[in-house]
Amino acid sequence: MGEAYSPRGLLTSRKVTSGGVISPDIAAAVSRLAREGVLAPEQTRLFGRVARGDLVSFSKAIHGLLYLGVAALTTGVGLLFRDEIANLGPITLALAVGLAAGLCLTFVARKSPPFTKAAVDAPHFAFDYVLVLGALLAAADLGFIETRFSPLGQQWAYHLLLVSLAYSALALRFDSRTLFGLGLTSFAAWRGVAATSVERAIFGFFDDTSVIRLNALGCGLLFIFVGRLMERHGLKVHFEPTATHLGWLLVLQSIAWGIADGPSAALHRLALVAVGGGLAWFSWRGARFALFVFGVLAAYLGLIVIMADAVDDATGILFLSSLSAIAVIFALASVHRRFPKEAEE
Amino acid sequence: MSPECSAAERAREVRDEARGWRRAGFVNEEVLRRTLSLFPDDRQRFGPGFRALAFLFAGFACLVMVGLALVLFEPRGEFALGIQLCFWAVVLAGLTELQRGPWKRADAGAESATAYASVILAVLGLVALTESLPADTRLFGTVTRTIAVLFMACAVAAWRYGDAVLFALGALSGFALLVQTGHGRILWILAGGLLIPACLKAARDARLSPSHRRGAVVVGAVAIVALYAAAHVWSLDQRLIEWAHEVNTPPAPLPFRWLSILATALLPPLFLGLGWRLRQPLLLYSGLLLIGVSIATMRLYHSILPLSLALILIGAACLGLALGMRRWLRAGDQGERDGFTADPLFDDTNRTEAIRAVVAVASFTPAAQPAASRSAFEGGGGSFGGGGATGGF
Repeated sequence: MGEAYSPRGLLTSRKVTSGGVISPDIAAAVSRLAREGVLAPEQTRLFGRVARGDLVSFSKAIHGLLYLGVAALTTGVGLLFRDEIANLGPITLALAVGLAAGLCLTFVARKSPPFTKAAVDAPHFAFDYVLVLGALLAAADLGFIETRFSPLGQQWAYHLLLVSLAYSALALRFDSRTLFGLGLTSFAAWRGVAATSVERAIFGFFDDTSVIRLNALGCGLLFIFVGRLMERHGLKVHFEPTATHLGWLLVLQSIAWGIADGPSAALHRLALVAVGGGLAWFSWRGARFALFVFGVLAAYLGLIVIMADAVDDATGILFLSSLSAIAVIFALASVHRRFPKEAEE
Repeated sequence: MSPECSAAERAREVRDEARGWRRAGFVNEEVLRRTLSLFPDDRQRFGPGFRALAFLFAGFACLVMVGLALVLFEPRGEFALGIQLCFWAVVLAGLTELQRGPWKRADAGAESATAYASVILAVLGLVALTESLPADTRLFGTVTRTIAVLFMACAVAAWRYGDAVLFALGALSGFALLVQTGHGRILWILAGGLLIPACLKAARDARLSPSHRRGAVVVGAVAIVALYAAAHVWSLDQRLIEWAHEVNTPPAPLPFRWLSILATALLPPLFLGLGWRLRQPLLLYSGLLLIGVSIATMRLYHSILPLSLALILIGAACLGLALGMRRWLRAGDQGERDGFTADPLFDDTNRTEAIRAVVAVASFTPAAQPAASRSAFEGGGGSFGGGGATGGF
């Protein structure tokens, strides 16, 4: 860290409080644990200070300020591109923002430890914020250059692919899950935009909605595959849930899109129940809670729509809906121990 | 709240804190195990994900069941509708009591869903009942009656169940009710001024259960926002509070604008200063947030810079302030200033030197197991004690 800091500070018993206690139950419990010999005096002193409010952490406020700073800066730069072209000129603007992005990424590169396939601790508490700020500024600059100077011409949508690849590369190099998620969403955005504009001729047989749906399904499957690959090769294994969760969301969403109407609505409903149910089953066996939730919700949605279509009577629909919801609650109560992280104990 | 629920909440608070100590590495597994056994929890709880799912499905089931009853026994007129809704509110309140009492459920999602559904149905039912009265016997307009019923239902349910959302709704509806008196602004200032210290005191009152203390913080936050909103110069200029009155009154000039300008500028730093002095996170965070609102208000009246440049400057200021604040706190005497530290306390993301050093203390805990790779020190000069140590080193 390189900053002067004495860890003894956390252990002092200096009392500067205004009186009263912040967590009276915990303060009492700490005293009891000390009396019973469970806690050592140093621990008792520290935990007691925190419980009484003699020691308060400002960490959340500092991180909130960092987050606000990044959000305000990127929004400000976005508005700058829109409003100040006449005053500053496009080249000056592009260079200025590019320079700011470069400074951020240089700071990150200088602070970062060498690349490893495993997770690494951030070398600085603001590391992730500066990295994301630099990447967002660079992407905004690229977007501005594309809009203003059109270097890609008709193939303009490919700049989203470029951004996605750059985000993913930075995420892998500097171990940022936030950027990895941004990389995946930029990739999905590229598919959506490209499929309905520059690649429209390739998907000529389908209408726009079907094209987007197919691309969402393809993206979802690709993300799930990427997640599996990362897990298998031990490459940033902690990124795997981001890819898998986003992948399954896209797959389920692309199926759910077709359940309302159209000639293949019945097929989509059945597919939603089958895929959702399968996902819930396998994630229950694999103790993966988020996927279990996606699966349960998707399967239930498909089931409700099928029931509503089959019964076609308000009383029957309401009766079956309430019955099925109660059944799900009891099922949840019986399976929740399967997920140790989700269980209270 | 029943004494059993309150006791379970207190135990839960200690157990959660002990898990935080363990996650941060302040204590070892043995200390955690002994702490959990000393503070047992008899409730059945779900984690946040399951709780959300159970809440969704239970809420859906409640509303669909009531819908089914209304379809089967279609009420004729507002009185019958009100009676039916009130009946279901009582049934769901009973179900909530059953879950929280004999079934020993807490943080399980379903009991919150039935509690919320019960409050919603009670409000709708009571409003329908009052609507069924002859027009000349109704005391207030529909909006005022609805807010009053909402306030009462939320207040009772919040006190009974200790739910933060119900506390927030109760406080919001209480302030909305004050608006309907026709003197909303002055009453908001008075109520805010009285409620803030009362809530801060209640938030530290050992006699209250943890959820009631959290409720006091929520009500305090609403009171801070209400006080600031009532004193705010833009809200005064726009007559925001006066326009929320059910009966539209002709806009009259409001006095003391200069006082309102002063309050807009001074209230946030006052909250911040008091928060620092009393070490109250609620006041501190409110102060920080409202400083941002006051700066935005100033820009609204006096636009010095283009919005884009202002945002860039504000962003840079936020980043600079965060970095400076952290450096300043850490450079203080013994790594803290006035009892404030820049480090997260009981958090597994904690990676500071301070935490690493304090982690070492865990190995000297009386209940700690000596590391297998190290042989025990068996000097004859005495034993290593502390905190009731039982092992000889």
